[in-house]
Amino acid sequence: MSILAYFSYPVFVRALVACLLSGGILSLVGIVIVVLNLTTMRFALMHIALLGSAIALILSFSPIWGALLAIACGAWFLGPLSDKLKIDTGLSSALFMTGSLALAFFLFYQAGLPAMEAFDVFSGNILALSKEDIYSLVIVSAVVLILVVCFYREIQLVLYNSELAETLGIQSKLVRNLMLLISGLAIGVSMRLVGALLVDAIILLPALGGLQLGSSLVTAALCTSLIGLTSTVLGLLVSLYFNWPLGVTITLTGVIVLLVVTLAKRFIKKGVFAKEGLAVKKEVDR
Amino acid sequence: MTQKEAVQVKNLTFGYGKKTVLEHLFLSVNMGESVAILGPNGAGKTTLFKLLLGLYQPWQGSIAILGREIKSSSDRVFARKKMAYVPQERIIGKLPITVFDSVLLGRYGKSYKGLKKPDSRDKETVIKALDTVGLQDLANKDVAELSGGELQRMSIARALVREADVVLLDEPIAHLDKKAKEEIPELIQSLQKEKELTMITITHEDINMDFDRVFTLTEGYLKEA
Repeated sequence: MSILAYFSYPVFVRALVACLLSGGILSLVGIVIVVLNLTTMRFALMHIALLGSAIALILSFSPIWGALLAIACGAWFLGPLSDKLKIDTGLSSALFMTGSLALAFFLFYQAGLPAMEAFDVFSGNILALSKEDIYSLVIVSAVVLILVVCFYREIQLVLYNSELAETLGIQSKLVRNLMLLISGLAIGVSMRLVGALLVDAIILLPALGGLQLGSSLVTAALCTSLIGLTSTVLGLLVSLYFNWPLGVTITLTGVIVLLVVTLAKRFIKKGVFAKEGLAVKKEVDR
Repeated sequence: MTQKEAVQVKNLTFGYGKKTVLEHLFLSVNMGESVAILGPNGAGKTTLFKLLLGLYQPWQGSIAILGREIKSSSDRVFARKKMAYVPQERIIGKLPITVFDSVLLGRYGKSYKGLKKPDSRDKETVIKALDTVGLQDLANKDVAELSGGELQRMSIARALVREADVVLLDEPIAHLDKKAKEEIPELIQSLQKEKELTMITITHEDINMDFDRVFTLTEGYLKEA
């Protein structure tokens, strides 16, 4: 079957849209996570999602929206709680992570809930996305894009030096907490695409590559988007062509792209490409 | 308060939680004057700067910048526009940023903000400031590749582009090597004289600079030395 033939399948079109949005836009929150060193926070938010899912099951509404709502609340409280208790965001994340996991299991036990149903939020499949998943993906992607475009300079200042940002009149804590919230929501919707265990392929790997290549926040964001798009779209096509599992293929593609970027960057630094360029110039001169 | 006074602090008391850090503090700095506030670490020197910038609210007393008492949020915006803060420059995050862009951040809130982009005048101001501090050749270099002395020069350039009336220098020679500890005060001194800047320098160590007045801040009390 040719690639073009896939476009006649709504499932593929939905998957492609999800890849474009997640790879091109949601990957941008990875920059915030890497620069502010919030890697523990994303684990905490995944466990908070489980608690939200458990509460949603008790209250008989969609576990996915329950998970997203819990992530939004968790992300919003993580920053202020760290400030109030004067502890590192990593430590407050550990507190939230263990606390929410214990509470979720307590709810499973007390309410006799089907634990596996709540754990559904941890699994993801781009080819099995519901309309609800696509809507949430579109909404979160739009919010990320609007915030990045409108508050690029404020985000840049807070990421560079929050103390300096404050002295220039920016409410650093508010901007940071908004970034935490958006990062949390992006992680939440990304979990539906590749599953919680492989979510880093969409969120972290492109940002790690983009931050190596970019010389400013703009170029780092553009490189991140490009790497994210390459990983997700190429991963989708390779997976369909070879009939490989989708989440794993996207993740492996992301890992390969990051390795290529890292090696390329190293060669450029060592001047390998520069020497080649010189050789080409000499050839032209002759 | 006379028109010549750039900063006036009256009976200022402030602390964190139940701990009082600054007590009944009086300070008056005239336009074009260079003063130093000496004190050990934790004496409340940086806290005083944050109060001047309107980041904290005094428990008691008042602060006036260029004759305007800092009370409301619009007063605080005014204070930040009139003052430039030179922090102890250190690389905190992993954000890629060039020296030029880092200095350009100093124009934030002055001429650009949010969707409003920096214009050609902003860029000219940055080029001029980089030239003044001797970093013109490093404009496109990543900040992470700079030495301690170069970082401090960059921080001073960022304060210059704010075109502020009052410059607040927070430990300008801390963590610098011997050579930079000699060069940076020299640079600050010449800028202050050339541009007739009003400067308040806080430091916990000996600094080779001439000041119009020197104060000491110990255990919350400010005294003229």
